[in-house]
Amino acid sequence: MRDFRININKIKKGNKAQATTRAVTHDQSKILRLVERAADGDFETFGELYSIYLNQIYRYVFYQVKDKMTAEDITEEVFVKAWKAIGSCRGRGQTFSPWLYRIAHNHVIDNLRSQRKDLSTERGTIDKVSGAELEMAGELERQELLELIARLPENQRQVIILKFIEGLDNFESGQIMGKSQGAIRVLQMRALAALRQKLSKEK
Amino acid sequence: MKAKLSQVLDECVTQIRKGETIETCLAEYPDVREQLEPLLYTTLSIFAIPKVSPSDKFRRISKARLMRRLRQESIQSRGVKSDQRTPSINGLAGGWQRLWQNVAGARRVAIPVTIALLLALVASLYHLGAFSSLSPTPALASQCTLSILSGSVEVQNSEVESWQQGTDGMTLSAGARAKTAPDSHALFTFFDGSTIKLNPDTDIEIQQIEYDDEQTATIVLKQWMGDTWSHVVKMAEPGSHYQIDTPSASAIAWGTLFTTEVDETGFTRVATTEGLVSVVAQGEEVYLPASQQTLVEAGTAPSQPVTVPSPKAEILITIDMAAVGSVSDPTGSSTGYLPSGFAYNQIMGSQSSSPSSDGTQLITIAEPMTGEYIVTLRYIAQEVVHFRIQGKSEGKVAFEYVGALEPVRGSGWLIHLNLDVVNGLIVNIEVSDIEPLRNEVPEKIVETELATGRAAPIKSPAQGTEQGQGQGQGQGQGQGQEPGQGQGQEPGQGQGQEPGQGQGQGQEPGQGQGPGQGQGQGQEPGQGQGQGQEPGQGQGQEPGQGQGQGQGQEHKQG
Repeated sequence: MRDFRININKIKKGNKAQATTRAVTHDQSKILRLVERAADGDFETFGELYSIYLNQIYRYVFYQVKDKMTAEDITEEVFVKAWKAIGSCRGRGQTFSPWLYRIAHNHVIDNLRSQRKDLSTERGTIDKVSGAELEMAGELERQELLELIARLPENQRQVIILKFIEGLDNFESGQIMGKSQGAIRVLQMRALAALRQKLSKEK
Repeated sequence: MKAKLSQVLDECVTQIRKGETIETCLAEYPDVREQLEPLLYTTLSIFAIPKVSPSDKFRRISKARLMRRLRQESIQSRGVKSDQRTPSINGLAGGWQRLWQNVAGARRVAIPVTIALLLALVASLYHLGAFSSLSPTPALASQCTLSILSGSVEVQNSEVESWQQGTDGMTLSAGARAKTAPDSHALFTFFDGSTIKLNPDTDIEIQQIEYDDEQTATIVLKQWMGDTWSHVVKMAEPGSHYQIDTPSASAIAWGTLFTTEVDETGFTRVATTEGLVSVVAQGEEVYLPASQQTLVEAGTAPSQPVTVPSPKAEILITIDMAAVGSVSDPTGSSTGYLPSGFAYNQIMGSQSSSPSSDGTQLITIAEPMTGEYIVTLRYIAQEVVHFRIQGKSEGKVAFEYVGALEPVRGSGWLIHLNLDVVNGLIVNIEVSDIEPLRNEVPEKIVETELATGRAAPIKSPAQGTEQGQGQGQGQGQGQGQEPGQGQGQEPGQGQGQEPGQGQGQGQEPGQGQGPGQGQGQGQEPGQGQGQGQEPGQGQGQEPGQGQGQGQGQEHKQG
């Protein structure tokens, strides 16, 4: 009956379904200090920022390019780019995280374009996602869902990854995407509706 | 209404993230329940997606590599400030291109500017006192090994101008040149395991082979004529590159499979099978991702990349994880893996998946030729190996052979196939012989120290999984010393708690630890199995994990 409920038995346990995503929060004053020092040319400090944000940026990239090696390459490139331009963050350490995501986003888009991999039209490339990361997932449904997310329009895809996978809130997502919180809410609804529709069709 | 629904949805998403149930959310908004419910279930599905993280290996090495690179960037930017004519490398986007910038940046600058820059850089480094740490380091590997796969090869060394008969296994240094005779095939193997296969009538010169203390690998070849197939091992260090210059173009790669063809006029075709190759000619550059090719006429820029036509025929060999396989073709070239994890790809247009990726290995041979192919299976687990050999012509299955081979004497099997190919299409395949693998192997492989060191042994999935499991079969008794470990008095199940140490008796998983008749599997991949059925008394392998008595037969595995 509920054809939109993919893999729902595994998700719903006695109707006590719970989400596991939690936003990663960092001590903003610490980030501010690190950014200032890195902007002064301190490699080691930038290395600290790298360690703090590595997981987030890698994840953000991976779910879009769906290839481990490419995600690793892009992640590294994002930080090199950030290092080159970190002077522009001086005095604005609180915007470091959204700024980093924007760099990552630009690299992802460049990468997808350069490889002519417009994920909104590309046919499934589930095989590429079957890296070690997803072995733990195992379920085909989840792979399908990832595939469907990858095929969403760029804005919708971005909001799903930022909010549901990265665990950011509307304000943070809006900062990264350059949109109001209201716009993020609308994009979120459209993205979920699009996914639900695609899931129904797949079934 | 839409605005309202988006707001309600957003509130529900937030609540669900905090652990609220869907029903609770829906109860709060009965007016929009119908629209909301499917969206919330979709929400849950997305929340259930596992969160990936960078691999441990990447995490381990990436920071150090990044730091090195940032220092380089910093030094480069100082150099750039001294000469504003230097092109910006900021515009280069995409992860694949990160390695390119070290090479491309230099190529796009006029030679005098480059020299001036280098001098300025050297001078500035000298003044900064940084010269000693950045001075050129001695090459650790500056030779490659010649393998003659079939026929004969002529070699000209840099010191001796005359051509000499090349011998199998001889080493060649920068400045050497090699020519394959008609119907002859040869292979160069470099220090990192990268190889270039030379088809008949190919003329190639080694211009540079270098691997320095910074692990920067540089391989530069000049292909004057003929067809080659390059298998370039992934080069992670900035500045590393593998380059083939032809009379009309340069092809640059960092971890790829690609073909380079050059005719008498210098006309060049480069086609990528895996990875990415950059082709530069007349100051223009194109990137070739997998299945793309470019053509370069002498004196012109590379053509826009186009898709390589699908092969008219191919052979697909699938092997399950009891064995690791390779295929050798009639030219003496081979593609596949060794159980050590050492990978080789010498057959033009072929690919092999890593046997550890999903439990099976797939080897694809594009555009096969008439003659004998040999499939080599090497056991990594004492189990029956299942395999499938499929021949396809114009996309249709022309032949399929499915088999299973038991691990008897020897370390594996050789399966001989005879192919008849007419006009590029497979007209017949016949399995002519299956024999145990003994000392003579069909492959000709040079295992370099560096490549061997990087290879990770391939394990059968049965030898190690993420979750350890064990089965106890014992008749003895086991008694735990700590609460919760219980007693095992019946044949039951145990669970190994350490890689390869799982031995158990007991009624509950994880309780048995004493030597007995249990069987366990490690929790880490590739950690093996252990069975112990030693009669007598035993003792737990971990503090507090139990003691047991067991009776049974001796039986060890893994």
